[in-house]
Amino acid sequence: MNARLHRLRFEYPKSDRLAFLGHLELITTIGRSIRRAGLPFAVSSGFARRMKVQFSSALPVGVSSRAEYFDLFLTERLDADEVLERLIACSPAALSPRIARYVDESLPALEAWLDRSSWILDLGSSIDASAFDEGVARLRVQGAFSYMRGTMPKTVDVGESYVSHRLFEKHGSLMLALETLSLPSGAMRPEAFVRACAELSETPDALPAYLRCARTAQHHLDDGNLVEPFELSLPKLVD
Amino acid sequence: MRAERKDCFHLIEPLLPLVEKPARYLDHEWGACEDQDGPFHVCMIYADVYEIGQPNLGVAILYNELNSCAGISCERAYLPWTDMIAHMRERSIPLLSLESASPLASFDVLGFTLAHELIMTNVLETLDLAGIAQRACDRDEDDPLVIAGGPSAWNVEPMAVVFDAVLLGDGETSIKDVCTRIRDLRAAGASRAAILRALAEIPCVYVPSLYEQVVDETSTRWGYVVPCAGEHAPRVVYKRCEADLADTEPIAQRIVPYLETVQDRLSIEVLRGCARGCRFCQAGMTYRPVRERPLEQIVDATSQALAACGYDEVSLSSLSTTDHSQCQALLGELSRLTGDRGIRVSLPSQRLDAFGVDMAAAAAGGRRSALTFAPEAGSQRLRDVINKNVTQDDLERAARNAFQNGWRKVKLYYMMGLPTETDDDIRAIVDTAARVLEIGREVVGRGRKSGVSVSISVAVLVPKAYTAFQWCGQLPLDEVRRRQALLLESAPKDRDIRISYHDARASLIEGALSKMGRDGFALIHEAWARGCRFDAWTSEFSFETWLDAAEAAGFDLEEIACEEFPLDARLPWEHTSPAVSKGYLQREWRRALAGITTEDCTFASCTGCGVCPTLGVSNVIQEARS
Repeated sequence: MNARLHRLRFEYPKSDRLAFLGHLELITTIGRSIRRAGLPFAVSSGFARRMKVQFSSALPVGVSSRAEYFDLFLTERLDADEVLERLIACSPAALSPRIARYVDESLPALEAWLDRSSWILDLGSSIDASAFDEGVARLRVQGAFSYMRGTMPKTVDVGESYVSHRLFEKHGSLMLALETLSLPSGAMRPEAFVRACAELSETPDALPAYLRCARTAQHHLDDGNLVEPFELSLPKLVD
Repeated sequence: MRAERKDCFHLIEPLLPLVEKPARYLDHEWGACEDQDGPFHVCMIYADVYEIGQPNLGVAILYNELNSCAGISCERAYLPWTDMIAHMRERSIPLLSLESASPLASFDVLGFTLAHELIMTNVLETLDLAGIAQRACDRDEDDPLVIAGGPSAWNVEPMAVVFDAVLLGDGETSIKDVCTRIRDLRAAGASRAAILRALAEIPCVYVPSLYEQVVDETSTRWGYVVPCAGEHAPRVVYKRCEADLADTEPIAQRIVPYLETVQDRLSIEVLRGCARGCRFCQAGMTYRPVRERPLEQIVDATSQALAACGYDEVSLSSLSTTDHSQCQALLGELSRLTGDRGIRVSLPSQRLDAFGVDMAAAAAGGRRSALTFAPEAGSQRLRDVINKNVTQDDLERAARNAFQNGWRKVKLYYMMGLPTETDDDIRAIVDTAARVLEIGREVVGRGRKSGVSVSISVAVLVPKAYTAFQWCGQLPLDEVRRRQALLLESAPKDRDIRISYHDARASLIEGALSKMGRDGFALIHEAWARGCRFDAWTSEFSFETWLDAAEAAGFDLEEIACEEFPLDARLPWEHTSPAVSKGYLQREWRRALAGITTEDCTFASCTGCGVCPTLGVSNVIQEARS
């Protein structure tokens, strides 16, 4: 018989040096933080008994974030703020969770549900804003681009993945605010998008070798409306 | 000249997006000692990539011991992978420590772990990348002192010119003695030479520069090593031995890595030493006596460390965990402790009998991956030669027990090139594998769906210092290839028997470096200069480059590795001793040739190896062994 589980959603950053963790490394690190906190997490059945936890979509290595999420399934309903406090005490500062709220257990898996991402990229001081805009326009007309992900070629459908962009200046750098939509076939990597645009604007060398990139928000797109990750939270419970 | 101590992370940060596995270079792991105020600074170095070096128990022990000393800080460093090395060299960035990202050349002491012979070119690469002279005699007065220890220190002569001092044996106490002595003498303004002489007064510390190599009619061509005229260094430096493991920290490795390491789990050292007496095994001779940690300490420490670290697996590590006299009770206690938390208990090796399988079953819970046994030799005759006190009946009972307990895959580890080995012994390997497969089919069934299979892995014997086989020559490459072919030809045409063997060329390098004296440095340096590093990595190892380096340095690798030493010759390593007597090893060699086995002194009476009386220690067994 399955006991009822309690689905607690956490928001956390991925910042500083830990932006360079790969997704599996991130999952392992947070899993160990949860164990250190002594939380009553649910464990899957079978030979390989694993903690029941779901994560939002993977960030590319080197990309930081202000808004990552995971859902932890607990066997006991504890006060969400108390759980948050215990987990903060056992987490690396650069991954320290900021919010914890219970959500409905029947919600879809986080990775598929949070399909809209907001990004900020530092394009450096050498690239011209209007040239970059031109590159975006050409890419949208082109409809798709290909790039090498490691040793594997990958093609991205810009028509569906690209939502909007905005350029602005900050401390002498050209900054890009980008909105993307992830698809069942995969998500568009912001850096790959930027380099494809720069290529089409014939200014690829104007970009820095390392593009600083951060995810700033994630949402669920529901019939044209953006739903906040905690919008479907249950009322705060105090045992 | 000593480099300035400062945080240089900003130098490597821009390189992180350009390299594989940037998590290797991040630091800030849970449990790392961030407080690195010193003022005396030590850096422990494992000269391979992070994921190989981080789980090393020796480094972890020394890290904890030093960081617990007032006024001493200890950090870690690993050799970056080749991509990062290339970027760092291109930009003239020196090798940095992990915790404070300070240049290694800014430290007071650098300590290398010599885990195996194939790490030697990496040690040279590490020093070069750090901007530190590779030879001790070329270092300036205020340069870091470069020390070393670990399993390959038992013939350190090929690297003797690199190290200012070498620590032999258990490091818990000696590392503190060495570092506090250096700190105090530095503070008093002592010269580098005076510091080295003072270090040589500490038991277990070998200072190579105070010794010289002598080649004469009593020695091999590699000579023997004696104190230089006028020096008062001891003629033989004996290892340090912690008398009781219960007095040491049970969980040394408390740093929780971000990236997957080769042993990505909590590790608790349940016992140190092994007295089984396998005649090829260097660890079995050099870690004596056997010291078991008490059950209560293991359980308490495991409970606390699992909570503190958050691992989902704990490994009971040692040379022979299932020999621990409280093993059965221990596994029961740990099962109660971890059962409902999704935490696994693992044993690194199984004893080759039914008891060993019972213990493996107790540890595994419901999981059944492959079960590994190490008969080491195919025939009973040859197992007696190597003193592997295991009979064919033991092996068959263990295999039957394993299949009855739910295992379907059995791995068997063997060696090739053992003394007195014949073609019949090679054929006996596949005969044994076929017999184990047949037992599996009897127990489980004969259909393909039964999933029963046997894998054989065959390594080449590398004769090591302080073993009964230290006088033996290694098998020549052509003969290895012939016997490998014989093995394959002799195997039954059954796809449920799989055979693999190690790269005999890498073993040949290992064998040559295990035999050479101080002259061996010319070979290692030449190989490094020609680009050899990460020699233990199949992807990086270049036998051809080693051959070229040997030719340039005037050596014949095969001739060196395959040379037999006279039984009465003075050997290159006899001045650095784990306290096993030469007479005992000679006796063991003669008994090997006669096929006479020697018992384990933790099960029977003393066998006279000499360790206990020489060091004033004894076996520490918690309950009677069975």
